[in-house]
Amino acid sequence: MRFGRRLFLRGWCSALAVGVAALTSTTVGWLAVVGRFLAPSGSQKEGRIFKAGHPGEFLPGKVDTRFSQSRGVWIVCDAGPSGRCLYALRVRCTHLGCLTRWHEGEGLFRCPCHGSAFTMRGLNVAGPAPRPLERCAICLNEEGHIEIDTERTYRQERGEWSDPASYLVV
Amino acid sequence: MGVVRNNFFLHLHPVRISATAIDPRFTWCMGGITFLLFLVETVTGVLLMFYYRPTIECAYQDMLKLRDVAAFGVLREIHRWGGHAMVVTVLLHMYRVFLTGSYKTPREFNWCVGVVLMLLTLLFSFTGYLLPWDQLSLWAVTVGANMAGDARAVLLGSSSVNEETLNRFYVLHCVALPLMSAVLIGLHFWRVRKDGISGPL
Repeated sequence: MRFGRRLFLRGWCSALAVGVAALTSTTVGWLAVVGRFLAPSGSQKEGRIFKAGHPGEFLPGKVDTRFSQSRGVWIVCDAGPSGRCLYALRVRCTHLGCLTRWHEGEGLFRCPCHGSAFTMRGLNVAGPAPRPLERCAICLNEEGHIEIDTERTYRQERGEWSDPASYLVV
Repeated sequence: MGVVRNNFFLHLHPVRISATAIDPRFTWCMGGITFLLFLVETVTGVLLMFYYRPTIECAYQDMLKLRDVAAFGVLREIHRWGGHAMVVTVLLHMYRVFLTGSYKTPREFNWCVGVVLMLLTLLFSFTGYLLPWDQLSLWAVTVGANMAGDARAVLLGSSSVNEETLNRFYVLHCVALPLMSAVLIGLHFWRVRKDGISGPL
């Protein structure tokens, strides 16, 4: 068979196609390897639920700051008309995620970054924060310990604070 | 066309070489393989830097994490073995250049550049050896630094191998040596282009 123009073009085109395919698959494969390599390897989930002690340890009208550093929650003991009520507020400011501080004298959580302020109940009263602090799920376990899940959160502006899992009546 | 005409990479290779000079039996391809390994080391090294923290608390743990936890932690093995291989290929490259007399006029300058590149490769090897921060690396560097005599304290940044040493070796390995090597590799290739590849004996 004569090695004609058509055969030459066909061979050339298929060689080119094979080359492009090889180059593409190598690039895609390498990008996949790099993506998997740089992806976080997980196992961060454990320890999201922690025990915060007995309900009796919390004084009415006080904010417990023991878990703000380690777990990122304030535990507020609210003395309302229907008795004492505990809830866990996340330390993260709802503006841009800085960590708020509790100012006992003023009775306010203040964010040092842009001056947002929140009442003891977590409602935003000053500064750029667009919404109240978030609550974490709180419950009593069988042994009477308070258990807080820092990953399950409840937002006031969505009406989630009426969810019984977002507070604990004691 | 300007992109092609002015492209640095398309000008790296000599314009004209004799057919015998590109015979793999003549060059052994060792310079090219060394450069390929340098690229492999650069790519894997950058990726390893995303995991590795050069402190005495973290270094060994991060190395174990690369081995046991990270997906494709084999990149660290590639980096390590690639580094060992690069020392071998550099020495074989110089051995070939020596045997074929390619270091002679007009290529003496490029031979000298090559000698500096070899020293840089050995320094890469030496500084990289400390970074896993295990017993092997600690004592290897202790012994190696003792050979440096009075320069020992400058090299280590302290009287013995510790945190300052780790930081120094990390900066040398990841910043200073790669920059120097990149410049000298460019010079080396440019001289190969200008002087041409020497013919067979």
